[in-house]
Amino acid sequence: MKNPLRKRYIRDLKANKGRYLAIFLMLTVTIALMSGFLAVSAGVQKSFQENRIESKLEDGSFSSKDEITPEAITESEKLGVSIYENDYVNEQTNSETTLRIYENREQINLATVMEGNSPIKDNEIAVERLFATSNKLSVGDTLTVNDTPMKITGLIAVPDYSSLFQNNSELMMDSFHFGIGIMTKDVFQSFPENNIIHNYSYTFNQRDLSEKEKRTLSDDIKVSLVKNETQLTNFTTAENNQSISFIEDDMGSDVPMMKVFLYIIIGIMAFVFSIIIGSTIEAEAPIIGTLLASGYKKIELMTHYIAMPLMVTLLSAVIGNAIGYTLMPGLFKEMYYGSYSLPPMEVKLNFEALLLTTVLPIVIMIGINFVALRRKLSISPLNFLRRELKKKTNRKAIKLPDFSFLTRFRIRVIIQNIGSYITLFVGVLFASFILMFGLSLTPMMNHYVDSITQSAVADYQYILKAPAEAENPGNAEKLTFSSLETYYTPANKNLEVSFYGLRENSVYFKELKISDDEKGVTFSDGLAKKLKAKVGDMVTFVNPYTDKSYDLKVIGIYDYPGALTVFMSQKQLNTLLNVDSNYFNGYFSDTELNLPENSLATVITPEDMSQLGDQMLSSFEQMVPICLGVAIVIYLVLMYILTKLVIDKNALYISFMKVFGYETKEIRKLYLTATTMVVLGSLLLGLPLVTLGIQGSFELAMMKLSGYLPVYIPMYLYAEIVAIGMMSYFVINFFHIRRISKIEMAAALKNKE
Amino acid sequence: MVNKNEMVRMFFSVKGLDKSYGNGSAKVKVLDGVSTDLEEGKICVILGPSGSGKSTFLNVVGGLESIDSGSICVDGQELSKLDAKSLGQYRRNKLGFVFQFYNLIPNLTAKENIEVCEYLSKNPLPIDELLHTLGIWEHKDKFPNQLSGGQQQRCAIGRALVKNPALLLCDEPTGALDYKTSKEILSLIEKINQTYNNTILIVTHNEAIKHMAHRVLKLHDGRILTDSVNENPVAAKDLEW
Repeated sequence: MKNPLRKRYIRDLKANKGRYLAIFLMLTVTIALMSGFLAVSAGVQKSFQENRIESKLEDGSFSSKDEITPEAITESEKLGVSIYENDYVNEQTNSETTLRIYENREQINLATVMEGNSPIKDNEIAVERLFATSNKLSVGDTLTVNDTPMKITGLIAVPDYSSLFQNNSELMMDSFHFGIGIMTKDVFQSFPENNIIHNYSYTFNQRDLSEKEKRTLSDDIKVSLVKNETQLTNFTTAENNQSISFIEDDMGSDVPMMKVFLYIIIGIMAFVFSIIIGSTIEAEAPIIGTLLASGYKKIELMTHYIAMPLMVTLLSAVIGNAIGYTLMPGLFKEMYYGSYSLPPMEVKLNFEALLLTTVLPIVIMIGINFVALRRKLSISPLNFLRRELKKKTNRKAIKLPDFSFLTRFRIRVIIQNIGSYITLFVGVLFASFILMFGLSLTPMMNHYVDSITQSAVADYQYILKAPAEAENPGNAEKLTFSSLETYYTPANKNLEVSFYGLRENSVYFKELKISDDEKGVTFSDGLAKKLKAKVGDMVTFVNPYTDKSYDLKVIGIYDYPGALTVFMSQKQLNTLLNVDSNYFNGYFSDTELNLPENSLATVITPEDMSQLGDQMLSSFEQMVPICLGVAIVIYLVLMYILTKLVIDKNALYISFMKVFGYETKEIRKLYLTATTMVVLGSLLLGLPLVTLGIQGSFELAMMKLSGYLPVYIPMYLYAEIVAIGMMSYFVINFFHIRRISKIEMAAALKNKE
Repeated sequence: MVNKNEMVRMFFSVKGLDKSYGNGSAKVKVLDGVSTDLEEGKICVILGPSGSGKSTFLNVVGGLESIDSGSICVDGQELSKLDAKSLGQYRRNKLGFVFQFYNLIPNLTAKENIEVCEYLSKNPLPIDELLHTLGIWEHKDKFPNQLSGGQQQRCAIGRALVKNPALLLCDEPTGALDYKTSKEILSLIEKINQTYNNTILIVTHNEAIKHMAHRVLKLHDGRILTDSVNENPVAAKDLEW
């Protein structure tokens, strides 16, 4: 015979439909997001890895001032690599963007055509898909490159620019202002020699090298090239090339982050269920006592009470997965394809994702509830019949200070529902964290851009390929610029650091006291924070192209946020780099300088900074509504379920209070104000913890980035978070007010126990 | 104490009280033309078997249930004309309730349970004095589940009394208690009546309790079977059953 208790499930569902619906929605949305995300990320990773092989992705690349001699290439290839010419030009387009143009490559870094065709004719070009989307370009449009109109024949993805970083030292990808194009070989070769960057890519002949072997072999190639008198201007392994490796790092942290998100939500919901069950057991204690006295086994009751969370979780898992595989992929694909240049992908059933979104939630749900239930059901049938549910019933009541009756009553309500309120606190903390993360992105980016714009010492900063005198020097100041690397332990990689050699009493760095006699260097505060370096520390830097290392003492920290920069006297830097004492390769200037065109490597203007800001904001702005939405849903669901439990638990006493003559608003003052205080307290108390969490998370995230983004949380954000939290609560409170009004005195009159 | 020379007045009177539950063939008449009255400061015991309408009568006098027809006047107020809010005020200002199963709020101490109703009153009785009168002073900081049945009922009486209500409604106040404790509780009710001159309505199955009352109503099938005056009530401590 079937257990007759089963009939209660449907009745329980009907009686508490709001509560179960809220839990179901929360679990379903979480599981749908999770399964959709995992399916898409697995699909992206698969197609990405396959494409890397099919499109013959390089294992590293290097550039030199001049074309490298065939002898130098042959000597290096003897080490076990194949080297391919991979020249490019950086050209301006009519949409004020920089297009890095390659010839249609056939041996290395092959392009995948996503739409249209490869260029065949002289006036044709194929451009990278994300760049085209960001600049609203389509197949058939005309793009003017270096004053020549070119017809876009296709949109492509290239494996060596899955992330569009123009320079490897940049903090952010920038598909709005930087893109990749391919042209026919003939057109490419018609670019003037001065414009061409002599770039080479290499692949290891042996494909199964370990990471360590790859690094050693790359180092050997570098040494061999230098030995053969190659003047390297750049040498980057695929692992250290952000354009290639960033997506893997990003996805590598996205997936565990999403998994943690899933576990936390399931864990919180499991605790919510255990509190609901606990409350049901309290209400049904005499019934449980009667059933146990009648011969029911504890395991039968345990199975009965655990069935509801199990059914709700199972149903959520089934529907969540169905939504995850049908509606969600579009959202996540847009997220990935809106940030990265990726080959086409297919969403396939992912076994691991299925396991994580079905079996795991059920295991967590059963595990937590099993432990809670075992404790709850461990008392004797007689104790259940007597409603003596706590083992120590003679424990003294907590004596409260001589507060007003209202205050003491509210404290008693909080003590009575401490389990619900603790769970609510954890939930509010989690939701506030998500909310603060989402809301802080825009001000943090704006603050970063503002601070680097404000700290920009000159309107124009020129970096030269070789020393060149300006025709109109004005108040321009010469500097020596170089890049050295330092080992960054947290990310286990070398970090590129800019070195500025400045003259004594520089007018552009008035606050920075640089002396030619100083035995040390000054760090930008961004670098000091990133490396956790302080004055007096010795830091080792390496010239990646010569392998020479330098131990430099930090003698000062200069307020130059965001940038990883070392300041020293020009004389000192020139000595360090072993160049002439009068050597310089850059200018700071407040006016535009006339410099020989072929001597110019880079110009940085304040406009570039605002472009950087635009790009940073566009990369993160899609996160803001998602975080806001998720946080509000968590606030609403948890506040609804957990605070409703407080009212449900006290419904009978609320009914008695009405009998005694209490008005609804007075009852609200007693029961709802206690909850309001807890919600407000949770939001306020959570703020410092959330701030610490955000700081820690950003520091962790910054480890994989080349730059430094200071964590900035403006004060108004705290007020916003509390306001959003409280507004969510007041929505729920509205339902509670109605619920209290609806509690009838009949409940008190019918009470016969 | 009541001044015996003072003129007694009717505290409540009901006339032709009808009350039914359900509709059509399922309609059950629980009060059928009930008419009676009671003087101020008297104890009235209402007896009758289950389903006789005694609890419904108590609820109607308590302003907890509406009537189909008739009139019910308590302390000069016609209850059938009051809206829900005014009935709430009526209960708040004039009534005290004592239930069979005490119905104390489990997460409040004994004293705090009494304070629940103290909060409603503009002129409450001194709570510490009341705790002494009730004999639960030493248990004031205990939760209900740490008190015996008798102590819980004393606490419930204290909660009803703290407002110093004009009318105390007791629904089977000894129904869940043993003989000795029941007598103690009845003595307490008697003492309260003598001390505060409250009018008290006691609904009970226990025939013996009628001997301590000034007035005894017997209900059957919603009608008053007998309505008698007891000129010489017996002290509660002398009741036997």
